Amino acid sequence: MITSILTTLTASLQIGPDEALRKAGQYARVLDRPFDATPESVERHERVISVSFGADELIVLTFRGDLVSYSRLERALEADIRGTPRFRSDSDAFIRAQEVMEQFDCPPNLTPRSVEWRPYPSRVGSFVNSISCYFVQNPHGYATSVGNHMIVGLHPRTGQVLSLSMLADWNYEQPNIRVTTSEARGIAEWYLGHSVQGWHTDLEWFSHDASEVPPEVRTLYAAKKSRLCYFVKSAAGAVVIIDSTNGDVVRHMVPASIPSPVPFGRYYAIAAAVCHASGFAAVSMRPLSRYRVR
Amino acid sequence: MPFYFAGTNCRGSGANFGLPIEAAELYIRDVNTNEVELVNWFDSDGTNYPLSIGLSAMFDSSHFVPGHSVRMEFWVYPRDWEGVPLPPGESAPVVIKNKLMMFEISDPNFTPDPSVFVNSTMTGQNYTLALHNADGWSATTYENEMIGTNAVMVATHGYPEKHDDDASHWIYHTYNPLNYLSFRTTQVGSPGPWGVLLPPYNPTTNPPLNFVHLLTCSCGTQIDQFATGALYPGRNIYVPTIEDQAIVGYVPLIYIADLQTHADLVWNPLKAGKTVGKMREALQVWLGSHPNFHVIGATGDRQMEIADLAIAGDPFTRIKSVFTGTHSNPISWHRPL
Repeated sequence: MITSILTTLTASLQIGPDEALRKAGQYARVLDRPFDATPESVERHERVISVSFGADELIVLTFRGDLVSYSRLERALEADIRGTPRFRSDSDAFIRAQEVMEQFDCPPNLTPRSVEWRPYPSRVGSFVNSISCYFVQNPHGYATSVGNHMIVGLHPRTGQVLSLSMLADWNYEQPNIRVTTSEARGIAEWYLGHSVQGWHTDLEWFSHDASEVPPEVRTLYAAKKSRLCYFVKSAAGAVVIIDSTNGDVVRHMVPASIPSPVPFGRYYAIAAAVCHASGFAAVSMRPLSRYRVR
Repeated sequence: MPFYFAGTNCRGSGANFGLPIEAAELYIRDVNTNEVELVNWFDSDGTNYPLSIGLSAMFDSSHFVPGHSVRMEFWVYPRDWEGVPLPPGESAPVVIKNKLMMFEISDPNFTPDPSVFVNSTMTGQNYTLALHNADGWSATTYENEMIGTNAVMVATHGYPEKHDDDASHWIYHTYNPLNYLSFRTTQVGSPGPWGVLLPPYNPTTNPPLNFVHLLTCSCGTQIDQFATGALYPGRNIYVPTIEDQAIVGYVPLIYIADLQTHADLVWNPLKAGKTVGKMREALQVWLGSHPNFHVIGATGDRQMEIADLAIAGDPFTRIKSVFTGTHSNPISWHRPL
């Protein structure tokens, strides 16, 4: 009976196709678009609803009808982006992005984090293809790596919105920092099996559901909650993410870009040997990630 | 005569003139298995009997096993011949070429292995699968494998204007040698005068690339320049613009740990017959519920956004199910023209 009532209640909170079309049309009208396509078709997915506007535009909604994202296919943009650019600086772009944000029910206390100017090289010169403005929350003064945010992609000449994505229903744990920055770096070095020079460390809100992630963090992710984690970053982009509460290695990410002089596979081998010498029986990656500092 | 049938935009036709025609049928036949399919037809209205008729159809060559040959058969039923057709017109057999090459650097960190994943995803899809993920391959291996290939997935280190081979040599620049353009020119052949010697009538038996997935960092930054070479010659004998050819790449740095997920997000929709544009839409939908999917942009680690996947070429491109020139759901493996 309870299940039945809950199911009914959940169903009643979800919008139907007609309402999805109406909502998507409403959001689209707010955007400064170069064409006036109307929403055509609705598709329901595992966690969201998508609404197509012909071939070139898509709006994604939550089951409650809140905006998740908008994008339009940037076809034949090269000719379109020539001419006097509308924006001269990051702050110009942020001002326009904030104008766009005001049209939506954004998560509170978003602050500008960064701007990316995407180049579009051509034989007659380099153009900016699009400008992406990132806004994040800073709960307790720490930036969100996984949490509520807004990203506004702008046309460099017209300032029109090329893409938009928003997340508004995440929460954050109370900070419980029991690992110091130097301990976090030590864990990263121990994990990689070699000393690390020139790394940069930030505390950010993070959460993930990958299989190698400690169960505690996966549980948080399922509840749309983030925890404060250390991001120990190398100049080349490698990141070791360490739980600030218990010292777990949450994730290790390496960009598929510049080949490392020493293959990371070798680092794993060294790390495994250290682990073994420390009295840990298991020598795979996952037991390493269970190392705790306290 | 076409030199091959490769991809989802293959065409065949038949024509007849000189007799009042009551009906006509265009078939495609696999000469290896004798499987035959009606792909277009004409029935008179019982009062008008045209003196000439032409029928054509488009089809997805991956309905057939690579290496098999197919031919078009055109059956004409003249008026008052009591259902007895003329002897069918038959085209010469044309070989089917569907080949997907997958190259990945043999770095143990490329785990889970995206090329093995794509190989497994595309098994049973009537593509010859050429997997190179652990064998110290070079630019020469890459070039040789491109013979007869119409789909590519390459998972290597990447930069805005080039990607690596397995020994961390830079190969395949957008414009400097080695580059896709000079290589594909020699491999596919230079198009002759307008309308002549364009695919699939070009003088070599190598089809152009239907779809290319640069699963590397940064190659999406100059995706149009990669497109110029990799999708060469960028048009076919039927239309003057690029059609059913596309290339995709990533603008920012992408994480090794996520390579298989990237491969999944690209190849599973395509395998299901969706267009490249619909694959992009599916990615947007997926990103909407995966805020933890990160890349490294110009200012550091951040959430991936839809603009991070760059597409050049025809967004209506498909690698399975017949090309429609629209984003419609896949209809079948053939359609009348």
